[in-house]
Amino acid sequence: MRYIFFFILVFNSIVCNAQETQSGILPFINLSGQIQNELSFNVKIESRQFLYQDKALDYDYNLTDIGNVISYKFWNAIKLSMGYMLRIEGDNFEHRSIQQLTKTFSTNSFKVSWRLRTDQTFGASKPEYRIRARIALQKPFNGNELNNKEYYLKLTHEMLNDWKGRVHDLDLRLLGFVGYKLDDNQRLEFGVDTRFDKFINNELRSNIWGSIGYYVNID
Amino acid sequence: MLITSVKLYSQVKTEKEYEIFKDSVPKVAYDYVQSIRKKKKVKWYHEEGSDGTRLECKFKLGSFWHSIEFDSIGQFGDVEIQLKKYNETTISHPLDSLFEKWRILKCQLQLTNSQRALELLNNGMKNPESIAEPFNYEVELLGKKDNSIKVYEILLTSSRDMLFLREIQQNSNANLEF
Repeated sequence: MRYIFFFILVFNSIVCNAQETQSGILPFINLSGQIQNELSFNVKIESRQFLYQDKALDYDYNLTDIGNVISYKFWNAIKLSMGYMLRIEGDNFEHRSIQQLTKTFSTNSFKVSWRLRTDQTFGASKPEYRIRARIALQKPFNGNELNNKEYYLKLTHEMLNDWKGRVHDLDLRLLGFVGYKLDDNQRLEFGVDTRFDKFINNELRSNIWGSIGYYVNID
Repeated sequence: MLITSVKLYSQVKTEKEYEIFKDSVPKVAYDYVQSIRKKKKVKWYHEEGSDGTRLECKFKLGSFWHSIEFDSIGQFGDVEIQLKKYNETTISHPLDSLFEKWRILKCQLQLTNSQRALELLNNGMKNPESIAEPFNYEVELLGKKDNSIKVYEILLTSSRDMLFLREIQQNSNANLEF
């Protein structure tokens, strides 16, 4: 409950200061599985659809991302991942290369994962380079360990620095999700994905997404 | 020893745990914990595993996490105390013969004598690392075998005899990593 209250407080204070607000839905499917021993893959398909922009309700299909990542888990439980993402936005295609390090560990009552990611996007406009750091926390609503057919809370905080040409921007992301573990290999998550950018030029923009995701593991 | 290890190696720990209200706890178990914790807060859990149903009570005593296990009718099972410091070499002998590589994730000291556990807990237990034998080590570890890294749980006596070894089933972390 304390986590939810803190999240709402931070979220409200930033949204109130935003110069521009866009919102919509971000449905996604995430498929993962083992290739061999410590080698695994992850495929994520996500679409972005606006419901509100320019101070008016307005449905607008925006884009679809298809990402593929291969990961290797080292002995110290750090996972190194490399991948490629294709962004389809109308007739435009963007290509993104991804490199990331993650480490996930459990405490007595919750699971924590940190991630450091760099990516490079190439397309019609100038190349964009980003470095991003994220921390995610998962806590079951009942007990300390997540069982099948049980709900859980997931909170994520991410900071991004991006450079496009000579323009540098900062992006802040706060996510609050409620998840449901269907069985050992399937989960559903739904919640709010809030993104704030244009910090540097003092033209703060907020994007508020209602997100629903389905995770499936095929080990 | 090797035959026993192979047999034990095939076991997989799958467990379901959820928090319960103290009203659902058998009186004998509740009274046992109350005699240690008096009126201080404790959390009760119901656990269903491949080896049966248990009740578990968790609390922090001093700066150490303790858990007391009971069977479903409230009979004492054991007390486990999570150690902060442990000497890996004290239990390295059986682990070196089982794994190519291993690393301890969690080490708990297990007491199975109800009366002795009660006396130790009521005396404050400021330094669990200095408890005299007999006790068991319940260790959660990352082990590498046949080029595969998995999480295992091993129970060793204080004389390093292995009572059981089993793999702990891990959930996918894709929802936290991507």
